[in-house]
Amino acid sequence: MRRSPVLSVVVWAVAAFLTVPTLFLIPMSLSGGSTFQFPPPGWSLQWYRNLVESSGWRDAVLVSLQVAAFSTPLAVAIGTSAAFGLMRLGRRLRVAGAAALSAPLVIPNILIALAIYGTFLQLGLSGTILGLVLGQTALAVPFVLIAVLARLQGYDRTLTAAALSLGASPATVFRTVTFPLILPGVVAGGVFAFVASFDELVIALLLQGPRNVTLPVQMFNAVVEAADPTISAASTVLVVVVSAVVLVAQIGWTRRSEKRSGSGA
Amino acid sequence: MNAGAGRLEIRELVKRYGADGPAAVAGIDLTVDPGEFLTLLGPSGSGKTTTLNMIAGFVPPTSGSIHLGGADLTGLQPHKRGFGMVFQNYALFPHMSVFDNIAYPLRQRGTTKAGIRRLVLDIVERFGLAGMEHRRPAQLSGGQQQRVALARALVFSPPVLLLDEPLGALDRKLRQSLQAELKKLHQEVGLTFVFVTHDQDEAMYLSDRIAVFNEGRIDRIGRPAELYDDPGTLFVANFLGEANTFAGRFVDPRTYAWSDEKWRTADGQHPAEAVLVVRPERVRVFAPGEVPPGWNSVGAVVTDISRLGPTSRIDLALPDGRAGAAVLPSTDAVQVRVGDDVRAAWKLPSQAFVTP
Repeated sequence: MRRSPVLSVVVWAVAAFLTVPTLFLIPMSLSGGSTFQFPPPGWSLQWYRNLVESSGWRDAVLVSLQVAAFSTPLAVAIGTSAAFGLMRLGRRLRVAGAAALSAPLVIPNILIALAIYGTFLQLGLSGTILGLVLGQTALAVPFVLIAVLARLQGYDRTLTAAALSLGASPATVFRTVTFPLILPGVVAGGVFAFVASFDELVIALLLQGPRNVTLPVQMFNAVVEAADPTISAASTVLVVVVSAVVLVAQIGWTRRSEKRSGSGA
Repeated sequence: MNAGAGRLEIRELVKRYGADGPAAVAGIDLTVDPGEFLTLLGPSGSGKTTTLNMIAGFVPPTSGSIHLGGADLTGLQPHKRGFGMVFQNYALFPHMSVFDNIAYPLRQRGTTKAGIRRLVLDIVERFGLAGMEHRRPAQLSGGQQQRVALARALVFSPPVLLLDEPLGALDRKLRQSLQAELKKLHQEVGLTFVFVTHDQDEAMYLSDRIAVFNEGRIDRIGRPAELYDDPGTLFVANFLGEANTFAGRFVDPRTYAWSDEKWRTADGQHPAEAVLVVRPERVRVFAPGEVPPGWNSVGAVVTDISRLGPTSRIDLALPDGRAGAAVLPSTDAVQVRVGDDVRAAWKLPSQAFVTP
């Protein structure tokens, strides 16, 4: 089938619209000057050095990684369990349950952040890493839930029956048949959960304490206080980390499914 | 492989969905002998698959019991029952190779690595799958997948093999060749087979006995030829093959009347309320006045004549407006034409009486 040239133009235009502003960050982060000047007056790695050497920026990167490292597995565990639970319900309850659990996707983040802020303040969780982890987990769960639920809905339940009939206990069936088959959904959900947590701003902003400023919050504060190209360097790091996670997952998956379908399929 | 380790006995098995909902299975009694090929045959919704799933342990019965070789299985979880099972869509694990699929039940039983290798390679060879051990199910043809599913269900020598419409998804040609393979396999392994199908030809071809299901009950159970020649009930007569049926009455013990016709009947017991049944291949068509003496016959009009390879079929309109049929070997010349007034006739032993 011949592809319409108009279609190509539209696709490339949209892709450019979405990515070009991000790409401007990279030259700006390499600027030799001390303002957001474009094109940069000269080239230098000074802002990257600042990012690593300034304790504020370095700590922010570490806090972000730390929060994501806890909230991602937590969201994966909760979202996957919830998906299995929902599959056992009738169709109506399942749809209602999935909608309720996906609420963080449609409710404006600022509302969720305010609710969490108020509650966590009373519980003494405000300003703690635990608070950040819990808040971001709540936002990340729907990504996992949706990805796993989609995979589970395509799962042929006679496979479970077959494995049981062959003598496998329900736990073994889950470990050897069900879980390996829904793993792509779990991985995809985990990637989205990581990204959602790593670049989340609103909740992190309200829950920030002196010792736990995440990278997005640090960037926000830096913009408000004194804009210098360290932000561009930090943004570049953010873009590279997030893109790398998504790309690795995607390439890994494509390879695996190519290997799996083989020649005769 | 061991011969069937005992009799499968099913007593008063009932399945009701909801407290007082309709019964999907309304009281089944069934004994399957070791080494027997028993088919559960019936239209969809007749309870045959639910019965199989209760035997397998996937559906808990509302009441009744299931015993194998004297041991009560009724409350046992499916993975502890030890039956082999083959599913309609094969249910092969798509993420495992042929080898790992077949090795799966052995690994659950803690067979040694060497033992697994020997048993799997042995059965792979026997099922004509040699050289395909490392393929994934998606890389196999439908017939090959079917064989892997059978190998996987047989490799651990189960006492009973349960088959849930395993040939349902295949095209006619492949289906026929796999039916032949299945029949041969059953003779070789001597295992008890409980087979579910809605295809009456398949049931007739494969089974030692057929249990015909209707509305959650077993209408009749018996050997295929026995059920065909003496169906016993109108449902079996119509479901197992084709039948010309005449709902008349006995005017005396030797005479059965239907419409304007009076027919002689053989000696013996007939149900008080009886429907006369004649299979189409037992019916011959004559010009009026040429019916041989001793035959029963009914007036009919020829509505269609078709040549179907080995047989020819004459469609008839009976006096009450219903359709009837006669089927003759194609080697017999068809003497009538569409529109002819004829007598459709049969010999006395060809008729059977069934309960309505």
